[in-house]
Amino acid sequence: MTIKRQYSSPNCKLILEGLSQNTDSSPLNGLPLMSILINSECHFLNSDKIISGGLDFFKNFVKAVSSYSQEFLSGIPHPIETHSDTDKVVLQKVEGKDLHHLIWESPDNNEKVEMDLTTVQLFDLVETVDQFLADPLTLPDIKWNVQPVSRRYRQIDEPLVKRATPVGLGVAGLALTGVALLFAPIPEEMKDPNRQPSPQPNPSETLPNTQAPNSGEPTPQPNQEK
Amino acid sequence: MPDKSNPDGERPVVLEQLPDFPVSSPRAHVRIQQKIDLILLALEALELGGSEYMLKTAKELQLKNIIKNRVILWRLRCSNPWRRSYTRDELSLEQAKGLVAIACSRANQLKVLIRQLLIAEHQMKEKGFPLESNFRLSEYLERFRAHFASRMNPRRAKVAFYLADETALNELALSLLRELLFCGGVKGKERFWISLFDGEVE
Repeated sequence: MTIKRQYSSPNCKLILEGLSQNTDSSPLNGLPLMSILINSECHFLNSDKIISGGLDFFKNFVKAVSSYSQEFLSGIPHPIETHSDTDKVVLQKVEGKDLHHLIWESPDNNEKVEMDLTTVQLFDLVETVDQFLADPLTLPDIKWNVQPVSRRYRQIDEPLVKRATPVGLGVAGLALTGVALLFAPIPEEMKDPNRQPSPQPNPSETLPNTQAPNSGEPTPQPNQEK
Repeated sequence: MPDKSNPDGERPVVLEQLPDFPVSSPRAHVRIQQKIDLILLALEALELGGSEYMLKTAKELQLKNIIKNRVILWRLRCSNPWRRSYTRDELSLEQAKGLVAIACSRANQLKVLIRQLLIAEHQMKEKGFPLESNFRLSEYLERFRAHFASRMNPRRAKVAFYLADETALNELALSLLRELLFCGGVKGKERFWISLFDGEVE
């Protein structure tokens, strides 16, 4: 028996169709557990555009929407590991506008959907995904897995250009000084007029007397005064 | 943000829903505290008597042990370094979670108003009208600017920048309003809490 689950918000509707591996009903409220996904569709109510696909698409869709909403809240980009190269869903900020660009390209029939979402529409999209993530009876293998990104993803508060300017100016100044000094003439050696020529050494005066001094004086003897 | 467990009784459920993360540096604490206070400031600009509603929400969420009264709430919010009366206190993990839980609960209550204001903002910008042409939006922005000017320390460079540039301050108010919309969602509390630690963990 096919199970159908629907999650909706004012601007968005998410429909999942799937099967249950286990025929037993859940003891919670009698609803069966959807464990196999056949098809998923996301309808945008302000337009007639639909994005849809199987399990790969849905995993990528959930991951992209969830990561982008965190990125929106913190302003720090989240890396997305997609489950397959096809059926990718991409959400990007539209620069200078309060809009979010959604792109999805279907792998089989080359259908491409591109649309701009306002922040309220983006929130509605996130809401439908979060309603699904909060539902323990639908595809429990796709779990809530949101974690903060580490420090290395943090963009520096000051732009690189601004931070590099003082260093660049310093290096450039040093380089210019070096180049200018290359053209400067090498100073000639100046003779100091006060400097006297150094006297020539006289070997007879300077040679040390290697002979033992023989001055005739007696060598003091120990115990002489005894 | 050391975790000071509640000695008086069981931990409120709302705190259990928010995970603990190790914060990398003291600067990270400051940024988190600043963001929480600004989000609460935006809530105050949305509804008159906002702090009273926050205290009421603290009681409903069984957070009375963390936020006992108005003075405690004010002291916790003064951990924002932009404040005139910055206390240099560091929020404990439970205090931060408590304030986030209150903010998200209030945002959920005010979801309809927040949506209306953001839709109005989009329409005004699309038509090229000034934001002040919409009465409710103008009221929100005006209140936010007044709260910001009266409570933040103008000797802080960033505060001085915002006080000198009304457009930038309006944009700050609108960006906080957009975040409040997400705070009021099904998993808004968890999403906002985790977003505070983005780029702050090892």
